Formats: sequence, structure tokens, C-alpha cells
Amino acid sequence: MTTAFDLLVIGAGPAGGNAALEAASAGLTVALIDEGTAAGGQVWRAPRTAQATRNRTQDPDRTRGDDLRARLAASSVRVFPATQVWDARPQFHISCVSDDGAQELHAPRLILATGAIERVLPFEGWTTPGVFGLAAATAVMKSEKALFGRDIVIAGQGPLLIAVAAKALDLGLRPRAIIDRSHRGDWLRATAGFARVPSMLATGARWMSRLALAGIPYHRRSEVIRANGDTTLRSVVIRDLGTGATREIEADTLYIGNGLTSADELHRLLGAAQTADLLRGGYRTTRDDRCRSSVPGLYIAGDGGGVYGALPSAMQGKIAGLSAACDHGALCETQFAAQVRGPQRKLRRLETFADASCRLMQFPQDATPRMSPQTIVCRCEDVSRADIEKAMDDGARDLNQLKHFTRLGMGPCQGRMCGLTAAAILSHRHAGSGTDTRLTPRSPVRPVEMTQLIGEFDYDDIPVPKPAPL
Amino acid sequence: MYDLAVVGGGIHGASVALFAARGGMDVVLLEAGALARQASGTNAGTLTMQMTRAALIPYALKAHEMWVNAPQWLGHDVGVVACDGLSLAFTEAEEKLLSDRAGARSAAGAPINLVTSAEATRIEPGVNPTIRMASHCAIDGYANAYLTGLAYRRALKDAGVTIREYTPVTGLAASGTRFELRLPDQGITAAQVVLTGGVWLEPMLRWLDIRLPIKTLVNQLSVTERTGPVMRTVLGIASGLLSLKQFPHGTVVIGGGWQGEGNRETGHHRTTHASTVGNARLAVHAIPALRNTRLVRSWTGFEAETADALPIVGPVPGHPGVWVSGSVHSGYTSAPYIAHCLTQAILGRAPEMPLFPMDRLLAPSLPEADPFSPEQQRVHP
Amino acid sequence: MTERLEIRLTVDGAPLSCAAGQTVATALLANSRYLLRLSPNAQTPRGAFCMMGACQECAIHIDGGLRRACQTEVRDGMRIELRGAAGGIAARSPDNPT
Repeated sequence: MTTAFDLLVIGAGPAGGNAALEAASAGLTVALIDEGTAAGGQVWRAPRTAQATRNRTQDPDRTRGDDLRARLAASSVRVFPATQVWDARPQFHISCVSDDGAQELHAPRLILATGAIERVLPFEGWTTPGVFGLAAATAVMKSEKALFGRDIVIAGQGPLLIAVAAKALDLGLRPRAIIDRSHRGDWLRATAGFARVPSMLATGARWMSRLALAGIPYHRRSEVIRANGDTTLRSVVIRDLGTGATREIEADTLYIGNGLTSADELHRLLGAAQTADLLRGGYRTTRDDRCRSSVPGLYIAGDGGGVYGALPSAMQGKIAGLSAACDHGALCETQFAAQVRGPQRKLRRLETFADASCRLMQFPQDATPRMSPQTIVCRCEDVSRADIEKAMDDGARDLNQLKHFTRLGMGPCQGRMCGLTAAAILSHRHAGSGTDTRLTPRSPVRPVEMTQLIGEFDYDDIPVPKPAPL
Repeated sequence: MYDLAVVGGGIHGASVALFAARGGMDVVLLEAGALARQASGTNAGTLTMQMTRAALIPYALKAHEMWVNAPQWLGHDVGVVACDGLSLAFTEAEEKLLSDRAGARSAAGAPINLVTSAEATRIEPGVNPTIRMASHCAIDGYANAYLTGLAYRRALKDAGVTIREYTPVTGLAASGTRFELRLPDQGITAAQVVLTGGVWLEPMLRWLDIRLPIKTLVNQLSVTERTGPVMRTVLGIASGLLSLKQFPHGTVVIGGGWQGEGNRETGHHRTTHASTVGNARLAVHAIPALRNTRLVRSWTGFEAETADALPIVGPVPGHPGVWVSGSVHSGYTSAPYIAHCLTQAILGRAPEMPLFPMDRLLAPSLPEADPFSPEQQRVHP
Repeated sequence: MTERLEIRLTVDGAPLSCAAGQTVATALLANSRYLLRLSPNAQTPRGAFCMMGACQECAIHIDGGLRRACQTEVRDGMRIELRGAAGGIAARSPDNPT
């Protein structure tokens, strides 16, 4: 069963939501597909529990999210919540599943606004229950106005580190320690960029001072090197990157994150051209100033095409929506130029701020060679650094070969957690060998429940092709 | 100069290279990409008599023995599991098809017998109880296709074969008593050449001005995540369009020849929605417990097929010293034994079993009479 | 937390109360149930990790089907089994049927 639209938008976060609204305003029939139950993506998450909903907060992310959700509800955009896309073919057929079964959607134009996922630099014991991503903390705090854990350690880098710590304080929690990879100089350098959006700088400063006032131990220029505990976390060992000194901190919960990377499976499956870009999370999908990718009819908006942050994503979304509407013929060039001016200007104003943020979040690539041999790299398949080295000794030179030799990337996360890290280890040994540094993009782009994939069927309806010759 | 150059590093080429080296030849194995990454690395690994063409059964039987004893001749593990195989019939038409096919294969020497639904359920408790009957083979099984490259690589190195991966061959020419192979950098010479290029045999044979159409099939496979035990046999279906097995580590591979989309010239291939869903439906129909699993990956791979769907193995006519091997259909099952026979011929001995000369597929050497020629028109106004 | 815990789940047969709107993952975590399953290869203890649907560490049996706990909203009467796709906390070998 295929349903046709003028435009499909995958991802209902700041970018996708805004893209869909712009295109629908211009008169296009738009389908907006998202995995979550409500629009907003990661950063503008909807509150889920009663406590979170009634909590009067001055959090601007909440305000922006509520606004987006209200505008979508009032629009003609056809939203498909709790729906997972598992395949995409030009030009464009999308296969998706939800609790209502399997669907195929079709449109001549597609906007990918799939956002980003978090990266964590592996360390010994990082698979122990009780270790979570940093973005995991934000997700729970936004959805439920709560955070779990009794003895909490917050670690990693970037503005998210400070945000999580400060918000934990707001909830009445008292983190045991904050472990920051960056040093003061990194933050000072970033301040100039943050100053371009004064409200954000003020927020950041407020967070920092709250943490200082609360006397939360703040370890700069430090990393987590081990999580201890067998069935659950017991303690965390940190190391000062400068002096090499280590120390153990009792903890039952660790939130740790090392930046973001684009969720670009669909971009790659559809063959959109990309460029390596560590600042943008690893790779970014190339696009022109109208958000058009190298594939005709395919537009890219938000962190899914390279990490910039929520506010730039929202502007990119508007531009992509307007661009699709113009290419569709619903807006003439003059109208387009007039409407896109505002978002483009905002985007330019945000550039320096976004870059400063991304610089602090940039994955510590040079730390990957220092991983100990027993550190698990592929979590799904328990493939360690030592296993990878052995595979390279056996002749594996690219990521796909590594996958064949070790099963790295064959588990249900499909390489999301391990692919980039494994590639970094590979290129450390075979620098610039020019072979695959990414796993071959394949459908399904996410695990699909068999029941949802097959739906209801009669045996006789299965179109069995002609049998092979005897 | 090498004694033997093998062009194409899939399982056929790798096996010939291995056996030739052990037979005393100085061998170079050339592969455009990485060893065993095309058909040989992407297939379902099924080692079954029940999907093998009747004419190939004797070869498959011998090859099956070799696979089970892989540690002896290959020296390394490719995860071979010998187990029962069942081919299922759900409808009356399928019953008839199954009986005919099982009969033909059995007559060719495969130990296949027909069993009742109850008996089949005893052999495979997880099977859909609505099957009408099944054919059973006690010596089916499977190997792990993606381990093939690694295993052969080690064996080839031990045997002293020169492995040249990421080295495409772009031309072949006879030069006196030897052959010159054109490579991107420096060329190579060899006394004899074996072409084992899979779907690329057609362009390869054109280097020698031989026109032999090779159809490019694009086979599609899917796999679940590691899952609790749901089956213990290799399963197929009367029409041949299902292959289903659960590996020791728990993943279930679903295949059977459903076609994806692809192009030999560009080298690109991908799955189709219809084939993924259709194949999955057949699988769940056969083993209902698969309903509770998740599919995590599907992929495609090329497979070569000649006009009569039978192999081309043997000397290339008109070009003494050049050999060919491929297009075997269920080639993974039979490859080691076919390579064994071919290598005997290359080493100047009589092959244990007949090869499959390609002459049968080539156009006759005399030009066909032109019905519009003046001579013909005089005779047939 | 001052939520009304009006949703009742069973976790491996035992009752657990949580608030409407929570996910299975947060309901478990709020009750200090960090251990969710064992990894299929090396049988190491695992729990939720990314909480955004990407890592698949929280894929456990919910009402008989395998689902990501962090993406599944709680419903009254929901049946949770703390085991993953390939066995779980109880099953320690491939021979031990789950």
C-alpha cells in the first residue's frame, strides 16, 4: 500500500518540523515521519509524564518544542509518529513500519532531517549497566523532569556536559563529580564564539557559576579510563590528561559523552555525496545554499547532514522546506528569495556560535590509539581493540573486511556505536590507504521487527518467482 | 614468470590456486577487490544436495565430504556444520514438485528420501505443522560464507601462493608459449592462466574474442540478530525459493535466490522491498518462531549463470593453456571438488570426474546461411 | 519524584509501578533495575545506554516481542522479561533454550 505526497520529511526535530511547516504553508502535501511519539527530536523533546508537563520551566528548548508541536497540529502536515523508516529508494519510495503495520510512502522530493546520535570514546567497562550517554541524561530530564542514579558522575566534553550537570542540580541532585576532557583554554577560546549569541552565553555562564557555588568537584583536562562493577556500576576511574594521575570515584551512575555524529544512514543509502569533516561530527553531506544534496530531489537539513546544533538546524529546516516548495513550483524565485532571507541571515549569525560549540564537542580522535587492548569497541558483538588488531594482522585493511573477520558491525546497532571508532583504529595502522572507512550502507537501516515487516499475508499470495532449473 | 595465473579470487579461483600450488606450481592469484568478497563472501553458505542440479549431485557429494573435512585440506575453519536438510511442501502442487525433484536428485546419487509431516516435525520441531510432507537429506549443512576469505587467505599464504588483491586484470594476450596479463601497473606473465571471474567471465572471455553470454543474477539475503534457538536443520522449499538456517552463534540467514537489483557493469547492487518482504514471509511461514525476531541486515551478491544453467569448467577452446571455471550454480557447495578436478587437468592428469567444456555454449564456427543472400534467393524465391 | 505511579507492569513476573508517559527503560531505571540482559557473544551484563533508540542495548522482551525499552511507552498490564534476543540473564549457553 503506497501513499503519495508532494514531499516526504524524515525526522520531526527542529529541522524536519520546520521544513515540513514551510513546505505545507506553500501548499505542498507533506508527510512528516518520526520515530518518536511527538515532534521535537532530541533537543526540543516533548514532556512525557504529568510531572514534566505541568512543570513550569523557562527552558527555551521546551518553549520552542511546544511551539513547533502546536504549529504542526494546526497545519496540514500529515504526521506519522512512532514510525520507523527502514528502507529508502530513489525517487523516493520509503518503507516504514509502526504498530499499525508496514507502509510505503512515495514522493518526488525528500528532506532528510534525521539528526545526530552521541559518540562515546570507549573505555574499559563502558558496557557495564549504569553507564549511560550524556544525551541520555538530557533525554530523560526533558521527558520526565527526573534523573536516575544516587552517586552520579557526569563526564565528557562540550556544552552538554555543563547543561546536564546544572540541570541535575536543578532537580535537587548532587553529582559526585564532573569530569571534563577540555581545559580552561578550550572554554575560553569558545567564549568568543558563544558571545555571538548573548542569551546562550549568559545561560552557560549561569550554569558554570551554579556548579561552582554548589561545590561540585570539577576535574578539568581529565578522562574516564575505567568503569568498575560487574552487573552494575560501582566506581569510575579517571585520569588527569596532563599529569597522568588517576583516582577512583564511587558511583552507581555515569553519564558520559564525547560529542555528536550525524545519523546519516539514509543519506548514504541514497548515494548523497559526503565529505569527511571532524568538526561536523565525522562526515557531512554536501549541499548547496538551498539545502540540495548531490541527489536530485533530495534535501538535507539539520544535524543529520553534519552537526551544527539545534538553532542552526531549525534554520536549515526552513530553508530546505522553502527550497523544496520552490523546486516544486509552489513558490516563484522572488517569493523564495524573500522568505529565505530571514533564516539565511539567522544561520549566518549562528555560524560562529555553532562552530565554537562543535569545537568543544569534537571527538578526541587522537585518543583512539591509546585505547587498551581489552576495551570493547563493538558492543553488540563484544569485539575488542585486540580483536581488531588481530584482524588487521590477518590482512583486514578496510572496515567491511574488518566486519567479515570479526563480526564488528553485524549486530543490531548496525555499526552506529562502533563504526567510526573502528575506522579510526584502522586508519591509525593504515593511514590514508584509501579503502572503505565506512560500513556499506544497507537496508534495513534499523532492525525491523519481523511481525511489522511481513504484516498479514496468505501463503498463496507470496509471489514466488519461477523455480530454478533442475 | 609464473607457472599459473589465476584471475578472480572467489572460491573457485582460490581453490584452484591452492591445489595448483600444492601440486608444485608457482601460482599468482589476482583479485580486483578483496578475496572472496563477491559471490563467495555474500552467499548463504548452504551446503545442500536439495538445491543442487541433478547433474551436479555427484560433484556436490564429493565436495560435501571435503567441506566436512575442511580442517584437513583447507587447514582452517569456515564454520562448517553438517546437519539434516528438509525441503518443505505446503500445497498439493508443491508435493508433486518435491517428489519429482527429490526423485531426480536421489537417482543421481544424493541420499534424499521423502518423509511425512510427522517425521519432518520430529526432525525439525520448529517447522510449521501445516506442511504436507518434506524431502529429507541427512548430509546437508552449511558453512559461514564470510569466513571463507579469511580461511583461504591463510591457506594460500601457507601454500606459497602470491596473492595480489586490489589488482584488476584488464587484458590477456598470448605471447609465444606464454601469456601476458595486463595490470594497472606492471604486467605479469604466466605459462598457463585460469579465468575464475564469476559474473565477469563474460568480459574476460572477450579478451580472447570469445562471446559467451553469462547472466548476472543478483541474489538477496537477509539475517536476523543473534536469537535463541528456533531451528536446527537447513530448510528449503519445493520451489527452491527458500533457504533458511540458524548459525551456531544464533543468527538466522534467510535466502533462496530472491532477486535484488544490480548491474555487472557498474558493480552496484541492492535489495528490493518486494524481495525482502516476500523472502521474510516464506521464512516465517516455514519457522513460525521467527515472528519474534528482528531483521538487522540484508544484502545482495552477484551469481553467474550460463544459458543452460550448467557450469563451464575446463580448457578454453582455441587457447591452449587457458582454462575457465565458474557459473556452477550452488557453486559454493561444489567449488572445492570442481577445483580439485580442474587442477588435475591443469597439472596434465586426467580429471577424476568429467569437466564441463564450454564448447557446448559457443556459436558454431561456420557462419549461418544468410536467407537474404543472392544464392539463397535463387533457391528459395 | 512526585509522580502518580498508576501504571502496573510485571517484570519477570514481579509487579512494578510507574507513571504514565514513562518508557519501559525509565520505569526500570527509576526502580534501580539497571541490568537488563546479557550480551549474546560474551554473555556480559548489559543495560540501557544511549536512551535514544540507537544502541539497541535495551532491546528486551516486552509483551512477548523484542522491543527497545527506551522507545516503548509503558501500558498497564505490560509484561516485561529481562532477557534480550539471544537469551538473557537466566540463559547462559546457546544449548539452554530460552
